[in-house]
Amino acid sequence: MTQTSTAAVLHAAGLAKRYGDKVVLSRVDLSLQPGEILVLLGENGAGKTTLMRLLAGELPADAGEVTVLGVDLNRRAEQARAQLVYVAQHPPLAPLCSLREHAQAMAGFRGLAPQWPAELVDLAAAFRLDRALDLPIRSLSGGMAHKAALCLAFLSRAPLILLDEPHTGLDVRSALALRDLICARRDQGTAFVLASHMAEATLAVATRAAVVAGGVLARQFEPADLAEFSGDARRFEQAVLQAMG
Amino acid sequence: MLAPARQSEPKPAAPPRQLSGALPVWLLLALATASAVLGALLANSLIGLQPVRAADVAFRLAALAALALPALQLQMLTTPKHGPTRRWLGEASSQQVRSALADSAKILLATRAGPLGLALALAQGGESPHLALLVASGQVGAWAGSAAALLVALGMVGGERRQAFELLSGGGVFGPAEAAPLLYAPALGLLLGLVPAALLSAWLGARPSQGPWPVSAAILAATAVLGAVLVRRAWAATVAGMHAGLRAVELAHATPFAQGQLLPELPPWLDWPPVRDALERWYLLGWSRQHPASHIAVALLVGLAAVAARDDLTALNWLGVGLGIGWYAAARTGELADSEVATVADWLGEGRHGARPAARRLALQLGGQALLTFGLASVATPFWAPLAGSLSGIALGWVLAGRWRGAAARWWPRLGPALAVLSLAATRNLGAS
Repeated sequence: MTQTSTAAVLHAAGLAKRYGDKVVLSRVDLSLQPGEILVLLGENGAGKTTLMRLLAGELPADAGEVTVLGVDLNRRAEQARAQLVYVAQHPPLAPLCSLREHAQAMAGFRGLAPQWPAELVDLAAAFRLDRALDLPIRSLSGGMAHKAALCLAFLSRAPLILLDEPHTGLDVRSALALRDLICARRDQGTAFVLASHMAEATLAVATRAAVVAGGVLARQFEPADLAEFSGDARRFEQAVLQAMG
Repeated sequence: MLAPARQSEPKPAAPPRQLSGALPVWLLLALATASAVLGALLANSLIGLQPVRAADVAFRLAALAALALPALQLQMLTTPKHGPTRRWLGEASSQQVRSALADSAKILLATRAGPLGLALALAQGGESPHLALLVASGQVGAWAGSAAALLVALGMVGGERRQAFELLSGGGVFGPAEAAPLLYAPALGLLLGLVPAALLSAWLGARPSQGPWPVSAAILAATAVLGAVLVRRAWAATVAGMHAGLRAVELAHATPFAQGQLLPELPPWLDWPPVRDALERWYLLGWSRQHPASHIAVALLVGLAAVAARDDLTALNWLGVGLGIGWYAAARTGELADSEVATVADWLGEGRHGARPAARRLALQLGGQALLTFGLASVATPFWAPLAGSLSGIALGWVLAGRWRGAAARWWPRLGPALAVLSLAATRNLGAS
């Protein structure tokens, strides 16, 4: 997973982060091509969210570098961040504004295609949010607000989407819709990084996977490795557990 | 009832503008050095006080602690609403705009240290006319610098960097344009507060009791010339930008996510949990919508302490100040309730019943800001060289009173603070006679 390519959507080399004396990440290298879906697995507190935030430019790294479509995330942060969307577990939505208003602002900021309103309606329908499009975010449940953030992430058409625990709080129907959307966008060339605990969901979408443990990517599953586990989530879970130590 | 969403025009992704590096390092260093010197003067003046003047010490310390307020207000005025949300949605320039505005706030803060430090230093050792003249000249410069910094900051927002603020708007219009004036009401209060403070300082400075009249006259003449030159230069350089700046701020605050947050947000450097938690227990309670009364209480405390620090105020003086401020707040309340807030409350779905409390809250905020600034500014210009303050205050008041908005009809509700000072002057003269 350390191969470098100028065509890489995401490239990280030597990433390190510590909080005080605690080393959370050290020597993390990864690269992601268009249409690839990398799933990060690991125990709670292993550093998955920290790694996601480093990759999204939400957190400064102590060492290492990240480029998005060749743009250095540290030196040209705004330009690099324009190419990605990071959906955290608690995305910063404005409580008094509706999903449609958020989308309208995003359209202005990112210069979305003119057909974005229709696309928003389709996305909202997929997540069963079509009747909540004009409600303030504060009136939505936690799960619905999370789905609203996912709608916005897909609406953005960013080449790189980072999703932290995207299945948390989702009902079964929405989880299936999310899987279908990820696969559809993957086929269109969008690259994803997902942090997840769910092995079965991982196998359903991932093209590659990595286990975060001990501050490094303790084990990496390339496409051929994942193919071996196809349809056998239990065996995959055991392999992940073994990697976690 | 939500306003219908406007169809956004497709627009290409704009490259981020480079706004940093607006200030040369040497300028910041010079300002920091000057501020340090003034701080030393201030400390020296405090050390020299007699214990019997403990109240005076407390008052001066409070004024010292409040030095950062103008910079804070400026930054709050210009901090885009819901910055994290806008950034998450893809807005590209808020960080750069914030950085540029932070530089202006630093200038404002540095220049604000000048008047207080010099005035207090003069209070301790101002017997010599030569020293008085020197200090007076410095004070004029500091006051002009303070006014210029404010003008430059607003001009920067509206002039060269206007495009950045248009980027912040996101290309969408949400809610009524009437909401915008509500959002920068605190800053209007800040600027309005300069007017009575300047008038008061001019009146105090013109008193013949400050020393032999030839000395007073010479100082006043010198400061008048110097102040006029400096203010004129600052004004000519920045007035157009300031007009555009106020409009740009209005635009930025009237667009996405503005209406949900009727008052400005804390600037990012202050919105850090430990700092926020500590400050909210004190002054910053006033910025919370839940505690508007505490803000007014603090404003009253500082403002009235500043007035009380003068020598011989009577009950009539207090009454004059109170009536002026009260009239001003009441007039503004009615104005808001009749026009602006009702529209906003209706748009937010709160109905017209939500308009009057919101109007009261905002008027209190505005009145409190004016009073607070009045107090602080009157601290800073008590002894000498008030004319520069007067000129800058009047100039700012003139702009704000209606010319830049072309609304001369709105003059009258905004004369309250000036009337407060006039009544103070009248009653003082009455008492003296």
